[in-house]
Amino acid sequence: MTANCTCAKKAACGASAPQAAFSPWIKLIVGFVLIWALIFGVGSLAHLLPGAKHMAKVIDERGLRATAIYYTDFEEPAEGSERIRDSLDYTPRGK
Amino acid sequence: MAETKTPSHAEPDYVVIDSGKTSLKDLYKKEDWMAIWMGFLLLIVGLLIFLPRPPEKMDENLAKYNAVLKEEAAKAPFKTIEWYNASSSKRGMRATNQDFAKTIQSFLSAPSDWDTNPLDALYRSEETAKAMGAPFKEAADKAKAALDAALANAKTAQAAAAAAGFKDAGLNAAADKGIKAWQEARDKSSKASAKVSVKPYNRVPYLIGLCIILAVFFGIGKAIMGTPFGQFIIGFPVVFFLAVLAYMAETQALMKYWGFGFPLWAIAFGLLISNTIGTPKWVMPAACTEFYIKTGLVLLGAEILFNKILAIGKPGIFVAWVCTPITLILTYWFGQKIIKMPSKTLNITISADMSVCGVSAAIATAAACRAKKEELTLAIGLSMVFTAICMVGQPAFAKLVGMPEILAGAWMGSTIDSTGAVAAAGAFLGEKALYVAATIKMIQNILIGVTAFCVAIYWCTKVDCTPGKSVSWWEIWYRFPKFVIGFIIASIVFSIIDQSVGKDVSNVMIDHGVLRGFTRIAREWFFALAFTCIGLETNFKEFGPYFKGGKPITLYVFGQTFQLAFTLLIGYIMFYIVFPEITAAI
Repeated sequence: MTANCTCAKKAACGASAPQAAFSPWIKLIVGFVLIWALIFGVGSLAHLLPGAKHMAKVIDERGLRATAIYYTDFEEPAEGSERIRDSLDYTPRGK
Repeated sequence: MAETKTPSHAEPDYVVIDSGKTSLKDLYKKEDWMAIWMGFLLLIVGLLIFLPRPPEKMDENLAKYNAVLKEEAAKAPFKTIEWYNASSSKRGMRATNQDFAKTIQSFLSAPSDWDTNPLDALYRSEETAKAMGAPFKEAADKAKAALDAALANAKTAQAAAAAAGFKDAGLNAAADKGIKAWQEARDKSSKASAKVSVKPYNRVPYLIGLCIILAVFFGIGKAIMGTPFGQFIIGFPVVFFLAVLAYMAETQALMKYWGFGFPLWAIAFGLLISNTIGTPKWVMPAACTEFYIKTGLVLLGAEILFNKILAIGKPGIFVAWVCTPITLILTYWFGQKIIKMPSKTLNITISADMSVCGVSAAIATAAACRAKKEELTLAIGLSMVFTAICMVGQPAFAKLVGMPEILAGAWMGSTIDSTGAVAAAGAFLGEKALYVAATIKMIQNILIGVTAFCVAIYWCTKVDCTPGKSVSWWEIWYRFPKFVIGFIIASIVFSIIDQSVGKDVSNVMIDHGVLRGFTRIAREWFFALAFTCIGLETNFKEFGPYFKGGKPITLYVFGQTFQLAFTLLIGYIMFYIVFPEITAAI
């Protein structure tokens, strides 16, 4: 690392401060560990909370992408709207 | 390694920066215009790839299936086996099912699902794939046997109803019940067999290829605008790598249950780098939040097909297109007048994200009103937390009070922020709730175009000007975020194409061709890159002032509470009092 930086914490950068520069890397590792813990810790609650447990089962069974941000990101809106359109355009009325 | 803890750009805080004045050079020097050209280029490439290659006998088959549907609808007072088969065959026709489309998708695909080993997201051997599918073989065989039995029962019941000329109400009801049971069995069987057919993959070479393609694509754009190509290319792999990590966090087995998608993770990983070791200076030329977002939004414009708003008839329009704008305006008003939000841009971004459709609405609105990056991040964070709560809470409540599936679907479709979470909440209750919820959300998604356009106009004419002074048209033009023009043009052009080729052909060639097979996947990558850059350019400390007094949370809770009550009321009135015949047909 060089001194050519605009760090918020000056101690974290600069070639003349190798020991101080060590700390940001530790922070980075701790950060990744926290994210890992969040994924597996909070994530595991899905198997413990009753409602969330059923939801997890539904998502797994259907292979749903619950993280989709737009209707084109997964199949269900297309499937649903096409089914509904056929139901409305070709409503069974009999003879 | 040169590095920086905070952004070194002149105006790094804004999702979109105002240009101040305009000239012809802007057409190739400004990111707004460059994003339009690059977005259009991809859309044209998508059209050129897909439109000349329809599935074999597409028109002939569509006409055949529609004729069967018409004939069967006229024959019996319930949906017959043949009716369902024709409808299902129609849905099975996709331009994306062809080999060339599958090749494109392999290049653009994000990392796959994984459970405990992150490397599973990138590589799965043939042996592992076989081993993963094997435990489900028995269940799939059982489901297939149950399907065969259900079909036999349905055929017998339908034949009995047909023998009575479909005049016997009891036989008709029995046939309808048998056919619905067969449909459920078919659904289960198809899901069970999908679990058996696990495919091997190696995403690494494709991801490297995609990284190179995207680096060159955006590098050329940046070079035209004045950033040295080499500088951009050197920094880009880091941004891309973090975007891949964000996708990997999304696809982890537990995370997908909570709806925590790549935007959240991309920001988190970016923030982690920028606030610990600092974003290396050589990465900064590739940290082009605005450029990626604007190009992604132009592509998103093509996905805003206005004909979709008619998907569920008039009640759908009322629920999605009347309740939503009322909630949006009321929430914004509440934020300004009652709790006095210090930032109008944060207010409108949260209001749009909460009332329209979460992350995608937040991106479009934040870009249209030039919100700060921290404001967009905050809005997305709030949305994801509340989505996780509503995704589990709302269907549980609907089940508890015995809400009808169609009403519950409409209610959840319009009120849960994230589009994917809506489908999950609907599926929690059942098939009908799932499809109604997903369709209502799709109609609401289309509202993004109108929202972004109106917000851009409102900001240019009312917010960004001195009170009491009139603003000239030129002034409005100077201030208007130009990429919105590309966004709107893409939407209009694709809506016209969608309308002119007809609903069925458009589903096969546009929705399940150009869009889902190409531009959508590219758009998602662009957003992943943009969110990574937001993280890389942001300091944690900048979030502090926004949380003072908890105003963003108050705003969100007020808006969401109003929307829950209002939409439930309107949904009930529309689906059960004003248009009960549509509800019955669904």
